[in-house]
Formats: sequence, structure tokens, C-alpha cells
Amino acid sequence: MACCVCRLERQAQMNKAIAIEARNLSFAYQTKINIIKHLNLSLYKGETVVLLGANGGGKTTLGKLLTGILKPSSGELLLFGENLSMLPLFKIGQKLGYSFQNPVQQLFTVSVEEEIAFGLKYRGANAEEISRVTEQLMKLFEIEHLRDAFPLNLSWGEKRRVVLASCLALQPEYLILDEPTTGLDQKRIDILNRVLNNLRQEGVGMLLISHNQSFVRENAQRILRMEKGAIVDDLYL
Amino acid sequence: MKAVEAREITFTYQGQTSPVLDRIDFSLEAGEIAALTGLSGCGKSTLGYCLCGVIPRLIKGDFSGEVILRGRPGIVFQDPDTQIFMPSVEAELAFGPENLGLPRGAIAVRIADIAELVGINDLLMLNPAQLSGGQKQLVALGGVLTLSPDIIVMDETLAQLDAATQENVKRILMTLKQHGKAIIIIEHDISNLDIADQIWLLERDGLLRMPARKASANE
Amino acid sequence: MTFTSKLDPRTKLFLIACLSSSAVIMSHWTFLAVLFGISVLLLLLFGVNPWGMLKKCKLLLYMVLGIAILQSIFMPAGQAIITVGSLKLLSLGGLKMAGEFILRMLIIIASAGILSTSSSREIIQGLVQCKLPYEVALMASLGIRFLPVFAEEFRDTMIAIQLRGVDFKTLPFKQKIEVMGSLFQPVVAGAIIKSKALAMSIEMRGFRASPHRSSYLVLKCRIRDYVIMISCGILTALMMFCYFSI
Ligand SMILES: Nc1ncnc2c1ncn2[C@@H]1O[C@H](COP(=O)(O)OP(=O)(O)OP(=O)(O)O)[C@@H](O)[C@H]1O
Ligand SMILES: Nc1ncnc2c1ncn2[C@@H]1O[C@H](COP(=O)(O)OP(=O)(O)OP(=O)(O)O)[C@@H](O)[C@H]1O
Ligand SMILES: [Mg+2]
Ligand SMILES: [Mg+2]
Repeated sequence: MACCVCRLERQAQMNKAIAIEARNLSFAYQTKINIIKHLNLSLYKGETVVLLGANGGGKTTLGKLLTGILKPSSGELLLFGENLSMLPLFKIGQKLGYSFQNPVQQLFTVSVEEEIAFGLKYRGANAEEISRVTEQLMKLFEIEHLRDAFPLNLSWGEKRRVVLASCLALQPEYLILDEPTTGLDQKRIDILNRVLNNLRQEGVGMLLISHNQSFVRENAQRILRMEKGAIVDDLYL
Repeated sequence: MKAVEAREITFTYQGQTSPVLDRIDFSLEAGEIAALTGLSGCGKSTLGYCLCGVIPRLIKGDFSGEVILRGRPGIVFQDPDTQIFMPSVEAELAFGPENLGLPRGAIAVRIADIAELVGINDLLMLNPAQLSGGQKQLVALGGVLTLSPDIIVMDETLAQLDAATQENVKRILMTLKQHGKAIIIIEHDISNLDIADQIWLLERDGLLRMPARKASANE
Repeated sequence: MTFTSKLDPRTKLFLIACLSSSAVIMSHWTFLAVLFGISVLLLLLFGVNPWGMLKKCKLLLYMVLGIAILQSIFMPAGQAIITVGSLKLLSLGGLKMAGEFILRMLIIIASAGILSTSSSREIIQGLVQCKLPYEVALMASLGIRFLPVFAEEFRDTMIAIQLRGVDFKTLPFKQKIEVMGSLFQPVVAGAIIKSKALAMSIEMRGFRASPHRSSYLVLKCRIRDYVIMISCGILTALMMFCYFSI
């Protein structure tokens, strides 16, 4: 019975459109040691995948490769069918939302409000829409009282929420979040869970990297386990 | 013996109008572990800074109250990127004991012991800039432990570690506790509060103390 | 690891001290060209790719080039090459001066490249064993590291901007200026916050806690270090002699 369901689901996966695909992907930093080794992977639209694995296994590296921040040493990457290495980073950013493991790296404006509005503003949204989206997200992530605060002075969890809000303001088609729960208390993790669930209903696919077991349980539809640069386990729940 | 005593700590960051911490009191015995928890942004890291003297010495603002420390403090900051500054992991671990003026042989022993304990033996010769987030947190912890502090503050050090490594660090903390260290861990994850003797919940109107077992059962 | 990169950092410090002080003292382009040749040779010996280095400090090179051009325009001397009306736009003397300036800067950049084959820890220890106080050496090394950190921060910011789906290059000019202006404050404030955090970390690890500081790393000069230092000293003295007797 369980097996039957499993097969049916697999069938459904087959019909799903691929969001990101990696073919024989390898990567080494300047240290010349292969961190990602001949990796093959398909991530589907509308599917939530959780990437697990020990520290130093290569999760962050893989996430950065899929976002185009790092360039593969060999192999191919496709984003919605387009060759990812040919796409300029801003084109990728228009489709993909990415949040760094350390939120500090992603904050560059003078206030929380501007941080969230930045993408919309320079992509030509009108003032009304910008303020509507920004207000809504600040309220959602409970950072309204920080609207004028300097982002780099915030606490880790506040920075995290600002980064998440800035990503979501752009309505990405796919999300890659690297350990999004660090610095967040249970109440805020619940909020994040709710937000991610809504996105899932809307058909947004996501890759979540996390060590937080309850967060993983709450969100995972498919679990990838990574060890020493290779996917050793790929499991549909 | 009380290792840490804090009375009426009040702190306002420069440029802010309302205090982050408002008349906070607490104390911790040597050989005890306290877990400090509370909503994100409620002032846990700030309290950690006060506890080990970074506030008021190095961070500007309005501080009042008193912190008494019986022993050397050591703090693992929340962001390992700002803590680590040496060009190799080994040098990072050596920095503390060098400052204490330990002889070379003793430093070598300490580095070897701590690296083994924390599980960063293989990383000793690497540049910390080339490590993963979790590995950086371990190195930051190692750099504090080689200092052999009596009072240890760990600001969400477990957050980026995988399950097995978290268990290992918790084991290390239990050992340190048996050696009479006073330990304060700042933590959001309830499943990690099981090693604590006291649980402190930081709220707007002060520090709420909860008996350890009951708290984790209730939640 | 080549034979030369295992040299004592003090030997390297001595080498580059000779090189860069000669480059500053000698202001004749043939001597500078010889010095430049020597420094490229040294870079190769130390296993540093000079071309790769040039690429890394592109921005700095543009600046040097810019200054050189300005210099040759505003301090005309000797025979004019290009004139606009009565204004000497480019002169032989100005050109020579610009060339010397560029060579000098290149030699200094090459010296930095030689030094970069030792880790900052070794260099600090080298300076300390030359009787420089540890605090001064540490601060100097952290200060030097500030530039690359700054560059990295800037790169991160550019990545973050693009990840928000904004193409900086095709923004209208007005918006480009606006973005650039708005970046200035966070980047500077971010650097200050970082350096304060660094001070916190250093202090909390017992820095200056005890009057006596020991060192885990101890450097020992070997025979080859002495040989290189002495021959380098003699060579420098010879060049100086030639230079001043011309
Ligand atoms: N900039 C770099 N240069 C060289 N090696 C690096 C660099 N960044 C990471 N590495 C190495 O690559 C490996 C994978 O790192 P990565 O950050 O991808 O791990 P991770 O799975 O995200 O771990 P964590 O759970 O600790 O975040 C590690 O062994 C690390 O030492
Ligand atoms: N340098 C600063 N200047 C102004 N305000 C600050 C500064 N540092 C922190 N704050 C503010 O003080 C409050 C407490 O920050 P703190 O870092 O102590 O929170 P925290 O409890 O550690 O949160 P988290 O769990 O997210 O790490 C936050 O609202 C933060 O925005
Ligand atoms: Mg990671
Ligand atoms: Mg904190």
C-alpha cells in the first residue's frame, strides 16, 4: 500500500516541471580539492526539498552553485531550462530567492524599510506597491518597530527576518534558504513555517538547508542527505 | 561559590531611547549550566556582552548596575566570522594561551587536547576563511576553550552544528561543568535545554527563572 | 611550495625593505627598470604569478595610471610631444616622470606579493623577533588585512544587489549614482562595526591580560637565510654606489 502510494507520487513527480537541474556537477575552491563531486540532481517546481548533512559536507557550496554565486568547475546547471552559467546573476535573482547562512553578507542599505524595498524600487515598481509590500512583510515578520533601524546593528535573528522579507518581496519562483532558522525563536519559526506553507500552496518550490529537526519535519516533502560532496540519500516522504 | 553575580543591569545602546536590558539580576554557581532563552531581539546577546565585560568596556551606551565575576570569562560570539581573525586554525587556538604567557610546550598540549575534544583535528592547518559555517563555530569555541576560562558564555553556538556535533559539544559542556566551570548557553532550541540546571527566560519585564526539568517538559 | 617560499619571513622582510627603499631613493628610469626586472624575477622565484597579481590589483593599477597621466600633464618638462595651442599636453620629461612613478609602484606591489607568500602570523612573529612590540605588529597586520576585507565586503554587496534581481550596469545613470551613494554609508559603517567586533574578540581572548606574552610559533633563521640576506645587502649597496657615482 505504502509502496503503491510512493509509486503514484513518483509518477506525479515525473510530470512535474523541473526547476533546477544539475548534471555531473563538480566544484573546487581555490584549494583545488573537489568539494562537490559529479553530482546529479533535479529539483522540481512546487516541491519542498530539505538538504541535510554533516558540517562541512558541502551544502552551502551546493546552494551557492545552484544560485550562480559560485561557478561550477565542470558539469552543467539548468535553471528553468536555461543554462545557468550563461545567465547573469541579476537574471537569476529575478527568479530565485536566496538567503545566505550568515545574514550579515546580504544587508547593504541604511534602514530595514529600504532593505526590503530595494529590489522592487530598482526594478521599477511604483511607490504604492513598494510601500504595500514592505509594510505587509514587516508586519508578517514582526520587524515593524525596526523600520528605521540600521540593518547591520540588528540582532542575528532580526537580520535573518529582514533578509527573508527582502527575498520574499520579489516573489521568487524558487527559494533557496541556507539555515533560515538560526537566531529565530520558536514563535518566529512558526511564522516562517506558515509563510513557507503558503508559498507551497502557491506552487513555489524550495530548497531548505537546515539542522533544525522540527523545522525539517514541518516542511520536508523530499529529503536529500549530503555527505562529502555527494548526495547519498534521496527520499520522498 | 557564586561564579557570576549580576545586580540591576540596565543597558541602552547609544542612539536608542529605551533600554534593552532593564534591571536584570541573576547569579550562577560554579559547576552549573544556565540556559538563556527568549524571543529573537530581546537582548540575550546584549546580556552576554554585559556578563563578560564587553559592555561597558567596548560597546558604547548607557550602562548601570554591577557584574561580579569570580574567575576568567570567555565568550563565544554569535557570529563566528567576527570572532576568528588568525590566518590558521592552529594560530587561532594558540592566541589565548599565548596571551596568558604559557610556555610553548603547554600551548601545544592545549591545542592538541582541545582540537581532539571539539573534533577539529583535521582543520588545524587550514585558513578559517575556508571553512563551513558549522566548522567556524567549532573553531570559535575551540579558541575560547584553549583560554581555559572559568565562566563560559556561548551565544547560540549550537545553532549551525549538525546533530552529532551538537551532542558532542553538549558532552563537552557536561565535562566542563564537572570541572567546576560556570556555563551560560544562549539557545532557542528547546531540545538543547536538557543539559541546563537553570533556565532563564528573558522578557520585557525582566528575567524569569524556571526550574530546568519542568520547563522542558511543559514546552 | 618552492624552496624560496619556505624562507624565514625576516629574510623576506629584509629583501623587500632593500627593494622598496632602493626604488624610493633611485629616481632614474634605467635603475628602476633594473629593479623592476629583479622584482619580477623574485616573484617568479617565490612561485607567485606576476600576471595573476596584476589582475588582482587592477583597481590600484588604474589609480596609479591615472595619477601618472595627471602628473605628466601638470608637470611638463623637457621636449613637448603633444601640444594644444600653447599648452604642453604631453612632454618627454613628464612622460619619463610618469614612467618612473609607475615602475616604482609596480616594484612596491611586487614587494607586497613577495611578502604574501608568508602568512600574516609568520610576518607578525618575524617582526616580533626583530624586537617590535607584539601589539604594534598585530595592529599593523590587521590594518593591512583591512583592504582585502574591504574589497571582499564590496564584492559581497555587489552579489547581494544582483541577487535582488537588480542589474546595476543597465540602471539609468541617475539611479546608478543614487545606489552608489546609498551604499557608501553601510559599507563604511559595516567596516567600523567589523573592526569593533574584532577588538572585542581580541580583548576577550586575554590580550594584554598578562604582562608577559609567549609565542607558540618560533622562527629560526637558517644558513640560506643569512646567505640571501647578506648577498642582498651587498647587491643593494653596489647598486646605490653605481647610482650615486653616475
Ligand atoms: N572559501 C572556501 N575555500 C576553500 N574551501 C572551502 C571554502 N568554503 C568552504 N570550503 C570547504 O568546503 C567544504 C564544504 O563547505 P560548506 O560550507 O559547503 O559546508 P556545509 O555543508 O554548508 O557545512 P555547515 O553545515 O557547517 O554549514 C568544507 O570542508 C569547507 O572546508
Ligand atoms: N549596536 C546596536 N545599536 C543599536 N541597537 C542594537 C545594537 N545591537 C543590538 N541592538 C538592538 O538591541 C536589541 C537586542 O539585541 P540582541 O543582539 O541582544 O538580541 P538577541 O536576544 O541576542 O537576539 P537574537 O536571538 O536574534 O540573536 C535588538 O532589538 C537589536 O536591534
Ligand atoms: Mg553551510
Ligand atoms: Mg543574539
